[in-house]
Amino acid sequence: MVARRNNKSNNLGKSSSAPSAVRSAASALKRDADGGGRRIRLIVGKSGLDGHDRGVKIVARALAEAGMEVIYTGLRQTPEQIAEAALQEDAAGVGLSILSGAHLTIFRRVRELLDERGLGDVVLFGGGIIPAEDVPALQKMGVDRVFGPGTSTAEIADYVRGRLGGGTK
Amino acid sequence: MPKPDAAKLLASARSGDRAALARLLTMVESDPDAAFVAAGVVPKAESRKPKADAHIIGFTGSPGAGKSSLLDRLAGELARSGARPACRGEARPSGRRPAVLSIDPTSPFTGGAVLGDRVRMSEETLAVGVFVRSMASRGAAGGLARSVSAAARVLALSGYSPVLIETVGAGQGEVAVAELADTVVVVLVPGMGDDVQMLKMGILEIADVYAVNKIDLGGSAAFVEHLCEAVSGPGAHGRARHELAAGPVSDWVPAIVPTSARTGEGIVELVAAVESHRRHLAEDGRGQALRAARAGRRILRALAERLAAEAGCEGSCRLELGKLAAAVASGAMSEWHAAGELLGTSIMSPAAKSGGRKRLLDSRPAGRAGRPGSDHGKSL
Repeated sequence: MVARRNNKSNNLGKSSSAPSAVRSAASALKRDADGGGRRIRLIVGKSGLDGHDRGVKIVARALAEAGMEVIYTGLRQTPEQIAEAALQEDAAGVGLSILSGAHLTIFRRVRELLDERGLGDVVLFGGGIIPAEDVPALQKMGVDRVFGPGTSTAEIADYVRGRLGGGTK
Repeated sequence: MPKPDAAKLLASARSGDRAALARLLTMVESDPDAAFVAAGVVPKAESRKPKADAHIIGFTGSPGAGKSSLLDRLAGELARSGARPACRGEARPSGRRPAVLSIDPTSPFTGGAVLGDRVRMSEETLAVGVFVRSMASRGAAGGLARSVSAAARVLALSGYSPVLIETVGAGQGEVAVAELADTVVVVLVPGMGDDVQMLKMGILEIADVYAVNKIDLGGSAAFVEHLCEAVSGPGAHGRARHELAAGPVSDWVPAIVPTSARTGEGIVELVAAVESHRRHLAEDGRGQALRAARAGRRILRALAERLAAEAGCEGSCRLELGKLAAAVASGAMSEWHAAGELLGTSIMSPAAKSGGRKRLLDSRPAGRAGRPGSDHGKSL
């Protein structure tokens, strides 16, 4: 996915006052002790012969910073590998980054393989270099959302939280 | 969607439904007890007790040592090897159904995680039926996640064995995997230190098998030689020596296997070493005795984590914590001492105070509560 890093979410390096750091560490521990409840789990990766992974890595990192568990599957995955990963990982969604122009083929195949595995409720979305005129066709085949160049990571995180965080799974 | 029933999911998983298995693992990640509730219910439906005797193999080592790549190779080889041609000449499965649990760290700040171990999982390994599941550590210390043992049990109940567990890339001290795995493989790479590193305790001590990986890069001969010296002779590394002091005497000498996950060299030998250790454990009930001892250690680790998590710090405790934090930050006292102060001034949350946990705390000497894994090894 092509995305601009959201500066607001990148404040981990800033020094913070000790008491609030203690408080957040304590609350994180408390949260984890509860078993963490159900986290948003999703697959993020690339398929096809497209080696440009800077964007998808930034998106994976940004979604983790937004508190999600992101299973990053890496480059050149076959649609079968991606669908099988979604099944084994019990992912609520699959986000694919495609910059090669093969989006119509790959998204269709991944959607088919997900449906074959009984994963019709897994939300498929993506981004990359995808011409606007192809978006309606993608949506028709079951791609929930397509993000274009210049999308902020915050927008993607908001979408994923809203779409996958509803406790429907 | 109605809440899925753990026992139903387990029944489906046992009949080969991988989606049900995946869903049950998600349930177990939030609540480890779900695994045991489910296992308790199944026998009535199937009229026999589900067996779950998977060989649990732990994989640990430094980040970048090649654990994931080596695991991919090993899992594939375990699934394929031992396959004998059936009477009609068709390939028959090896009888092993490996599963992989890969743990990566959760952010202490956001609770999120990037789980990247699947990147190394090849198409070939998935094609031979290996089930791979990523888990986030979710705040657990020691290199595993809290629900790992329950997840391993679910996989075992679903017919998977061996269960390969990959830790968070460990430093020198993340040894929780030794409290769970029947066989521990420590992955090392040449060029990460001289022979003095071999003297150090911690991760080097817990191995049953050492994989010296990346031998295709060269420089492994001297490293293997140093390692050989460290695992044999007086003061040798390898956990069997420590763990079996109170149990059956072990003569297991850790195996050292040079490997290359890139070229595939040494993978067959690694399978042989792991299998050899499994057979060793099967003799004289050694494996069962060790499992009980390790379960005891896991309980104590869980106890320490629960105390830490449930000792809520609100109100006056919060004020006290602020003062102590300032003192520790300025170098006036140790955090060890400060923790004792908090315990001493009774800062438990109201819920913890009124419940049984208060008694639990009171029954322990104040200076020692919350001291995990220090000196209980012998008593087990």
